[in-house]
Amino acid sequence: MTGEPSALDVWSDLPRVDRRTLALERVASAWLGPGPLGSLFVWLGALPGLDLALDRPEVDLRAAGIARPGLVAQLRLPRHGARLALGVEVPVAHAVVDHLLGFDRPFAERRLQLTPVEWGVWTYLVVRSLEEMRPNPGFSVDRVGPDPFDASGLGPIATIRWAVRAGETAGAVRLWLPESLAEAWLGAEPPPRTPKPHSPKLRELAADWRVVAGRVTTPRGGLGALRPGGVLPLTDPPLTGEPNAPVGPLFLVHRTDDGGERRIAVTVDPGSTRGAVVVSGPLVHEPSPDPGSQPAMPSDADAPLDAPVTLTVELGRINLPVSRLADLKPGDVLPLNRHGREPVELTSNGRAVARGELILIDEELGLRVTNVFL
Amino acid sequence: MTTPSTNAAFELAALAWGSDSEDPRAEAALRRLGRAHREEARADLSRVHPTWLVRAVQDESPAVRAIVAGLGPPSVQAALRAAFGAPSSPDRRPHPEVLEWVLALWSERLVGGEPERDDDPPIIVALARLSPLEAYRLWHGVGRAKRRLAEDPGQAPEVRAWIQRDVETVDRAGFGPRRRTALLGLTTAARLLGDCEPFRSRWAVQHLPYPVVKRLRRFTPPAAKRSASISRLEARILRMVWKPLAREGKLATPFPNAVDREEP
Repeated sequence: MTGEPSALDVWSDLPRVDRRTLALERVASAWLGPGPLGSLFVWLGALPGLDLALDRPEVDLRAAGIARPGLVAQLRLPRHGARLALGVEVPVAHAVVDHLLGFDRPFAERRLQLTPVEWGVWTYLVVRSLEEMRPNPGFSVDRVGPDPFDASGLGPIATIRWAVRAGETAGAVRLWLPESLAEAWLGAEPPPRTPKPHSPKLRELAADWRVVAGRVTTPRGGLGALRPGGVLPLTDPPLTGEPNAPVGPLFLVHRTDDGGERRIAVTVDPGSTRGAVVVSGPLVHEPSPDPGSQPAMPSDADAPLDAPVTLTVELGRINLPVSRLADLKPGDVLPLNRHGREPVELTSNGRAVARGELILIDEELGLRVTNVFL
Repeated sequence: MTTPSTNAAFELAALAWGSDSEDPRAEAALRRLGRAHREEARADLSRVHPTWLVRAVQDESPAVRAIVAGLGPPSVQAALRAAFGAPSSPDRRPHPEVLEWVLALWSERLVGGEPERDDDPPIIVALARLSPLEAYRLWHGVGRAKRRLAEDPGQAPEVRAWIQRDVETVDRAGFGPRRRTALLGLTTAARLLGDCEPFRSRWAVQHLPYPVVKRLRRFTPPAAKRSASISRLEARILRMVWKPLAREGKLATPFPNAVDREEP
């Protein structure tokens, strides 16, 4: 038997795909749909004469092609304290400017070095593209030019590569980003859920229920002042206990179409290693307040970034089908979509604006912001 | 004509595509960008020293070299035949698409640029417009001037010290006295090129033999070690040598007047 490879040796050379790679590819694929990059491509597509098509993204968890010659736009994301860069291969960079300026370049000259005019035009395209992104992720441009991306001090770098066709020219565009930023994006943008085709009556009930652990008020400066690392006390109501087992009024909440709320009192299940809550009260319906009885207030989502905003702290979400809801009784354990040690979300009108972790401040719980999504 | 810099091109692009399409300035900006792009986008191979063309394919396979030497642009064919000998003719003509790619790949080190720009500094003019004999006269003259400055007791000790360092550097290169002196002149070129716009510098050095440019790069000080006062002094040495050579008819190109006006 000596000298024969074992079964493990035979199979050890099989190609493997990392789960994070697949997740990042899904995130990058979603960018081409509605969203920040979608609005960017709508704008680029509207430029005269520009026929741009991107293939699906490929992710490589290393700094692939970072030394290749080409046009490099180095960007900064101040909110995350991160630098990242977009690299455009020389033939594609030429083709875009040639299209815009009506220049017919011979095929044999498609790899000549880029010129200052092209750097200037591309600087404009990059700056305008970032301005066109809705919502704006807050990128700023460090520089656009031929120098390679300086990734020193950023830790491991991941590469997202799109095959691009600009007119008849094929090439590639690469995004180099720190893996830490990729992780944050993976957490920030889960793949969109496809709603199930329920009847309108059932849809209201077979929907997401949020486990609400109270509210926090943003510091002076409003949403714009939210920063990773900032600490906010839980005030409405205060919670005690441990960060992984908060004690105090917790509710499963579902907002109805008429503006009212359905609530179920719950407690955190301390015996569950995965996140779970235990039903402790009956289903209560709170109708929406009479619109005529209260002055009209702008919603948090519409408020300016510097206005103080009250945010809801969500421990997780549960999708409850109608049949399960009908049988619900005190003592039932409901698993959350979030592990007990995973961060909690800060939401405004159901939209996630930040993520954080529960921490103990003296005897009460507070929240340390870890990611801001605005 | 003056080709816009990167910043100027950015401003023109903002005018061309960022303003109202009926704004007459938008159309003018687009026309200017288009004209400048046409000037810069193509490399004039007749202005590129043949050694650059040889360098571009020296690491390629014999088959690729044979294709470029046999089917590339005429000036490239001549340079490659001189360097590598007549190529063995392929037994069949390459696939058209492969031929296109091979003829595109070798040019990736080259840059384009318009032959004359009003705002070219003297060092760019010296590298791009002088004949090889004129260039030798100029750089030899600059080298002689620097040797004299290094021995002039009336000069500040700091000036004599940095010229002396250049002298020692070229003396270590191991050439004969005449070539060493010309090389000393090229240290001035290296220092002045470091202050120029990089793309135009790259375009200008394509006029020189590639081995000379490699040597020149060794003399170019890193950005952190550049000194404005030394650059000014080098520029004055160049002017001091260039003007009398032009008056004597040894240089056909006069010292660029645009810079003359800027000098005190």
